[in-house]
Amino acid sequence: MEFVSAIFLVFVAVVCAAYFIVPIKFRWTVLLAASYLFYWWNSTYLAAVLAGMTAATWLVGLWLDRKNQAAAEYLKAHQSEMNAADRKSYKLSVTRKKKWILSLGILLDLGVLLFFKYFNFFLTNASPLLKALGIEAERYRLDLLLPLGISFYTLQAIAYLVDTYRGKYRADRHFFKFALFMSYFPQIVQGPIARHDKLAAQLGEGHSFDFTRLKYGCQLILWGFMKKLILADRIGVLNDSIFDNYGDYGGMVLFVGAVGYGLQVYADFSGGMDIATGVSQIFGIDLEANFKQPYFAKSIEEFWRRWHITLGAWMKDYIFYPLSLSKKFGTLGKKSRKLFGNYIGKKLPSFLAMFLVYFLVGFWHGSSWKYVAYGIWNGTIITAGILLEPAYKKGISVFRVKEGSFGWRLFQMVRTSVLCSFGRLFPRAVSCKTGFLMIQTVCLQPHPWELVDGTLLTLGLDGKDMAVLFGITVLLLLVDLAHERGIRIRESIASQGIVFRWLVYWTAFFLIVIFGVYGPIYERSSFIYQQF
Amino acid sequence: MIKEIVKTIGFFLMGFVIYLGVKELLGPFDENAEMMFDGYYNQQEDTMDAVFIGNSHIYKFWQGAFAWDELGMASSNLATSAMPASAMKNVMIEALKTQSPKVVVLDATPFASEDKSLERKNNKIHLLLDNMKFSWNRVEMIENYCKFSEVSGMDKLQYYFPIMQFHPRWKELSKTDFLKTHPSYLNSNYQKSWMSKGLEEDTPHTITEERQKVGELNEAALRDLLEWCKGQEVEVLFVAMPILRTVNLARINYVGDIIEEAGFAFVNCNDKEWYDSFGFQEKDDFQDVNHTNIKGSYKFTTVFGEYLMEQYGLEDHRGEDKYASYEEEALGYRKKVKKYFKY
Repeated sequence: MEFVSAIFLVFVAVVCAAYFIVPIKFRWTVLLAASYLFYWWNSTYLAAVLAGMTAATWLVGLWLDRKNQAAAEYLKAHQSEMNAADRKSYKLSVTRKKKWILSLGILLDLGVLLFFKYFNFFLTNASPLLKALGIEAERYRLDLLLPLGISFYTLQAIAYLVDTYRGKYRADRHFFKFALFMSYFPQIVQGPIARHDKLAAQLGEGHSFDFTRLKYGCQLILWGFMKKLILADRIGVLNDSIFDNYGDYGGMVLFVGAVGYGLQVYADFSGGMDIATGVSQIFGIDLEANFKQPYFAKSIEEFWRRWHITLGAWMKDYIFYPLSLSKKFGTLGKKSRKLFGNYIGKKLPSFLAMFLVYFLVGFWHGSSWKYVAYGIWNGTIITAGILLEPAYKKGISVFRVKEGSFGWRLFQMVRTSVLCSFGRLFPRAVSCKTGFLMIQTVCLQPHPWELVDGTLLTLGLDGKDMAVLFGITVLLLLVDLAHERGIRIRESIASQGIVFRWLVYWTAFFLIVIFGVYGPIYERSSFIYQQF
Repeated sequence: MIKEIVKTIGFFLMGFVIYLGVKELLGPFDENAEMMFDGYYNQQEDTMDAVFIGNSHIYKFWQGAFAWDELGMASSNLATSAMPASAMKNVMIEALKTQSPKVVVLDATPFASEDKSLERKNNKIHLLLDNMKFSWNRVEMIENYCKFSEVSGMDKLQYYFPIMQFHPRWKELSKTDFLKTHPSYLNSNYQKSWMSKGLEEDTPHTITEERQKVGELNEAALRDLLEWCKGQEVEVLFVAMPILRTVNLARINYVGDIIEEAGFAFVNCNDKEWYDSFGFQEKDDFQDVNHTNIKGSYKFTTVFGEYLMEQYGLEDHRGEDKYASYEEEALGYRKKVKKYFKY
């Protein structure tokens, strides 16, 4: 059951009706049943993987919680008998035990993800070594189906365990409500990666029917459909032509493909998020935002704070900070300052942590070196940006650039988009090597005339399609611009007269109906991030 | 709450009205198919003597305008290209809603094919569905077709909402799509290629006594139709048009046997006596091996019309006030085709 399908809309309508019919106290059961039905529909027996991971995470969470409670009670009971040293030593011993429990939990969750998503990747890369040992790697290759959303709910489970370990919140004592947190159908396909303290309570409590929320939810779903069907799936045709036949085109066309792919992923992924958020809004549940106008970012670092926000936040909270604030990194910082001087030496530990974060971000996207290259590209650009900052500032001062001016901000946005687009060549290319080849072509054989000699009209989209593409892209940018300026579009439309409002909604609907890329003559396309 | 309900109804009503407009605009515009249904629906009720139902074999052979001009016979076609066997019964139901003809002539060839043939599954079903008025019969036709062509689940939606199939037509909209008005000419054909083309080389007509089984789904559709026809008061005649293509002849014989076994009349125009009666000059009278052109269709209509008049006691209605529209449409047709054919 694809998100962008009539059956999904029917499914949502039925679940909605059931949700608001059932007594408020039991409404969460409707969501749980719907979530598992949705999962079963898409992945059949792989629902067992989700259920298994849910059970394991829940048990380990309870175990950690019990340790936290026992330690707190023990310290309280023996407060008068223990001095500071005793308390420290006791806490250390508890922390050590908790670390073992946490490691077990993470290993279980991560193990499942690694097995399903990366087993064949590791096997391929280890095959030379295995061959030397007389083992034929190909014999062990597994024909595995990737459980839907596993990359997302694994991170969700790990975050829950770490937060419980840290005592940020108590473990969930209700297994089925926890199961709902892990499986909630609008966000299991491609996130946002939720935190237990922000989502679970919302899911567990029943929400009353609210007509305004229904309206707003439907509007968001409509906007998600527009982005996905009119923009993402249309530009996907052009991108497929370019990336599948990259050798036939010069650098400029390849670059158009890279920019187009960026736009496709944005419309596709954020469109999916809008649908998930809109559906949740109808139930009275607020999901975390995953995008904040990424194309208005003025640096790659800022881009990643606006793009796939919940993944970035996860990486920051559970990888970057724990690493960069660890004792080992602190020692490394001291040593590096001696070696490389104050500026670079001070930054080196955080560079290392950041590199690891972007390596993992890349690797999380898929089991191929091209995704790793994508991560490293982003890490390198950010690191270079920080390292070159002094020179950069000097340049600004020498050329008397007005940093707040529109021209300068526009330059920064375009520069960020260009750098991002280069990076996009890697994940969309057939392989890592192809990605490098394409960058080489962009730089050394640009063939700019291909932009005006009609080549672009041979890529599967004719002039009329191009016009629609241009129109919807401009609309997307205008909407983003309005959001950037704090204008709340849905509220603005809602404040208009009834006829105008209805015309806007029906126009949006029929734009999808007429200009959407769907139906029997098109291949059904699933969301790009669904495969991650 | 009542206010919200009223607003919601108003909202969806607005959407429905826009949908109807968009559907009309983007729906596949096949002049002949649209003319066929519009012309049929618009004809004065209970004036028709004979209705012809089937695929291109019908509308490339039988011309209501010729039949009127030559015999004073009030008739019309309800035929679309590649009409699937599963749809024949529903089209007949549709035909009998507004007319009580003395005879319904049903094309036997939609049943004379293998299950995997073009007729079974193709987008031409839209020529029927998208031009028929909305009714329970239309829903039943969709369901029958989906069963027949093994379409299930949400894939059926494209037949209920043809816009799903034809929305990419926004690229090819032209003036014609905005001004879909046209006369019906008693549903007579006027495709240019049909009026102007003959065969490149003489192709002889062949006869066979062989029988070849047709596809199971086609046979089931035929038997279902025959069973249903038994309960109808109208006379039903099955006909296989004269063709030069040999492939289907044995299957047509097989279909004819089933029809006759069920107690219905079947005329196989490929039988020597019948075929000779038309006096075809193959090279001049056929558009291709499956269809006559305008000259051949004139010959066919005249001979077959006389047979119907005699067999079913049909009357010459020329000069009757009630049939003035037939005269007008036949006149229009004569003018339309005069460049290609004079009679």
